[in-house]
Amino acid sequence: MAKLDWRSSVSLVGTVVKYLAVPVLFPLAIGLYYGEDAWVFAVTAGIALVTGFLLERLDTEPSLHGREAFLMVAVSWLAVSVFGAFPYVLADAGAVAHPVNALFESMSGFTTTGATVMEDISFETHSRAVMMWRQMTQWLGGMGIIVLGVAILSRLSVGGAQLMETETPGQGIEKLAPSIVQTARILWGLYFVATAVLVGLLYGLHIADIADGMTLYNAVAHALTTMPTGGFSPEARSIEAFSPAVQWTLAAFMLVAGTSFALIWTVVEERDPLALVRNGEFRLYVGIVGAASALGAVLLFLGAGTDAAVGGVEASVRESVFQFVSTVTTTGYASADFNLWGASTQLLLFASMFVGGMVGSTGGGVKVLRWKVVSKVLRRELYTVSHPDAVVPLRLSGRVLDEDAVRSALAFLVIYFLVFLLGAVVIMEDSLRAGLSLSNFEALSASAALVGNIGPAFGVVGPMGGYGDFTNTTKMVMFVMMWMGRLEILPVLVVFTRPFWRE
Amino acid sequence: MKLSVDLRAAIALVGSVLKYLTVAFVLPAGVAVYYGETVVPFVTAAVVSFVVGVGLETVCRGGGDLGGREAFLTVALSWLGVALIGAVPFIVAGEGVLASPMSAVFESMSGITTTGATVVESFDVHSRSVLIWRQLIQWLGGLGILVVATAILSELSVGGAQLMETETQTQNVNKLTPRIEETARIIVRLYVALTVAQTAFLYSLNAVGLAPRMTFYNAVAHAFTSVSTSGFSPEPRSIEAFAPVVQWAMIPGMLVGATSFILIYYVTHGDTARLRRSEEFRFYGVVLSVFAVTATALLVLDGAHATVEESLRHGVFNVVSMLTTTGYASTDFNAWSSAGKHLLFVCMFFGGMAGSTTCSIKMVRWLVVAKAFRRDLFKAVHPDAVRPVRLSGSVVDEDTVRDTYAFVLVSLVFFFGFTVFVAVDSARAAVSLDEFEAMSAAAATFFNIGPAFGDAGPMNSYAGFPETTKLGMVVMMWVGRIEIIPILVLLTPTYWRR
Repeated sequence: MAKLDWRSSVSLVGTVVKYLAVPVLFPLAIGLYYGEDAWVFAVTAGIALVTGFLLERLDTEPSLHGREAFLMVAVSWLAVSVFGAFPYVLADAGAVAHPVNALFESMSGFTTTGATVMEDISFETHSRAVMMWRQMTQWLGGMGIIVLGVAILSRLSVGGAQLMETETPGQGIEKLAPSIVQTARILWGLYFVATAVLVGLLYGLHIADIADGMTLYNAVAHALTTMPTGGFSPEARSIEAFSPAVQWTLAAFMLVAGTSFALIWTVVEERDPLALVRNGEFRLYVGIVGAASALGAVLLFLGAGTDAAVGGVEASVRESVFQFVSTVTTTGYASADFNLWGASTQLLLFASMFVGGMVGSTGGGVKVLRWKVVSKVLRRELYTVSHPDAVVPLRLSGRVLDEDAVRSALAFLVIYFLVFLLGAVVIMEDSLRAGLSLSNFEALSASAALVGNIGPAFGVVGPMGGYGDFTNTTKMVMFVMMWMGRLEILPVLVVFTRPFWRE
Repeated sequence: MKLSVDLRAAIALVGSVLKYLTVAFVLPAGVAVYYGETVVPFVTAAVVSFVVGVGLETVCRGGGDLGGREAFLTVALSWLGVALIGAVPFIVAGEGVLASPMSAVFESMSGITTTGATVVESFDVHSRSVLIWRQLIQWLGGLGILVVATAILSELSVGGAQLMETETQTQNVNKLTPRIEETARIIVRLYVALTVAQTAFLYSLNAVGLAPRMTFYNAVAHAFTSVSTSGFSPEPRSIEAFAPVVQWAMIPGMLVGATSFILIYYVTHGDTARLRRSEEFRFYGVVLSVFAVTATALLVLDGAHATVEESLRHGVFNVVSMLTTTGYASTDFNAWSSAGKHLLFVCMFFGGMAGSTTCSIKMVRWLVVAKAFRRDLFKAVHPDAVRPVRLSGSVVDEDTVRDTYAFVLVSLVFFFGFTVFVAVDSARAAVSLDEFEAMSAAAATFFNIGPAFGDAGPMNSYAGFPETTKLGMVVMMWVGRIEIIPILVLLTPTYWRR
């Protein structure tokens, strides 16, 4: 095998960085409109353009193969996060003016995590332009994930992501469009339309006078972080700041954002809503969300909730549905301070951090499809234990699964848990070293929220708190955890193995 | 409908197990006579055990040979049966919390599964004979799992149990009976010898005046629960009650208990090279050392203990105790910093070697996971390469790798599910419990470790949990001890039908 053609990878990263200059124009326009911080974005766009052009010149005819794709993906997220941090540093306001914090916030954005180190989330500290850039990074991250899913992960056999092809409904994503570029374009179109519809709906609610505070700015800002299951909000109290109507609307759209985009496309294009029901992963996804929300609602109603929810039926159901949808889809919005919940509901929420959205959605985490495979493997195992000579292939939506793919899906899950546990240990020990008091559950939940790209966790890192108190070393570890989690761990780890770089 | 399981064969064997259990009551009865305490609890239990045992044997006479399917049923029912009968002395003696049947069954199941989680709150209300029964039942549980693991589970290809070091590989899974007898003979001899050695060692420390509290009674009691990595102690302060030298002396006992008995068998027969060849043994050593060193460093940094020797001793002791799923405590580690507790919590997910008395996930599975993962990373770069996973030189087949992954995952999922159950059930019963307490209590019972953190800490007890939670824990200790699959499979319709 030939040596790794890293120039190719880096050149393509250059292209990505170059195009980053385009979306920067949006906060630039907002900055001009409000007369604040516009120069910050002009400078960022300039730097991105120049760097992008220079990197591109490393290889004029880049071509991607397996290893180069891994490298390109891993480095892209890193590079984009670095450039995305420029506006925070240049604007020089609040906690994110510090480079480490800026990098954290930027990575949290591009990985659609939603963990924040901002201490004062208000327009007094941060300009509207910078806050919109923060929302924008998540939306761009979501676009990246869509391409990553259809074009790269499903083609490289890692972590069972290749199962996606099997599960793609209807004619299969291959036939959706002849080329990756076209497929990506279709899905991007869908993503764009869904975002626009959400902006319209949210602002419509405001005009209809049932959504106080949902100005056009807020409508755009929240649509930008709902569709990529991101979870940043320019409101310090997250979605608690808005009316029940807004909370229900966002819950519905988070549920959509956690659904496979290819599946949504089939439903829209073929006018075939039953495709949803036929899809095993979708059934499990809705089943898990439904079961967790129902149990949560009962517990909240009985007293394991915030004051607002205890005893009120609509409030309990809304608080529960919103929070479980937000957590399962790895969005990370909060409609209430779930730090005030009882241990039972908090643990349920913690457990739901390990579900993730569907494969092919913008959701992070483990993803429902893998759990579907696990349950099938377990059922088969139990069958073959009592019928040792039986040969039972695993089927998903009627198609036989490749055993290698099944094994790598299981491997992914185990590694995911290990990264989560190890991350918790590092967060814990490093905080102790710095004399920060952190409870075990806080550390565990923070780790789960970062690797799973969810965002808020419990305790100091709760929905109304933030990651600002951690030491810079812990924050850099967290930076890496978000990066690994978003790219499904293997593409990052593989870059650090020796065979990757050798012939 | 015709059952595909030979129920008679399975239940008759459970009967035999219970019949032989009668013999075990001789020891506590003897202790009772010696100290002038009542023998009624043990006589009652012995009679119940004998009658039920012989009864089952008679009713189910005429079954065939024990095959794979029957083995699952026998194993599951034996543990349940012994746990129930083991609770009889506690109930009849009627001392303290153990007078309540639910608590008695909890204590008995915790014993026979070598868990070491206790509901006993004050130890001085209990007679010496009842307390020695509590120790003995753990010793029996350790023996039981050794025989079952080496003779049965390793042959049934369940959840990667086939990875275990075995002495010979027989292919005929349908004739387990002769194999069980043969393996049992080797293991019983070794197990008894190790226990006697440990007793003698502990008592000799007392004899030379180094360990005043380690009386002969205590020496026997602790030998019973250290070789079986189970962790009950008749002392309310667990191993904190003893001199530092005793604490050091208990560590090797736990380490041996967590080593594959087949490996020990070879070593005692002069084949020491096998230790070096066993990759699992080396992995076990490395993992243990890393945790022990980290814990010691943390304790020194925290200043939790006065001297470096104390930090070293408590660091090593408690890491060994948790990692080998024993559950002794040489100090109240509840008082450690969150970081220290966190480290012990992570230890809970390891367990010792396969084919030892330990529980939890076990070293060999983690080793295979690590190797398979490295292979996957390699294959991601070289998609066409063929590179099998090797363990101690031999190729592990891909089905086994997959089973191992599945087992690790199922364990983790059960742990999470059970945590939620514990928290929800405690909330229902208005018992206050924080998230980490619930997680650690779930792990400590499901992985058969014993003490957890907070209210279920090493110097406290599980008595505060609601009855329903205790019942859930009884079930989970049982499920965890026999490695999940043998019990889950009983719940599938295809197991019973053809």
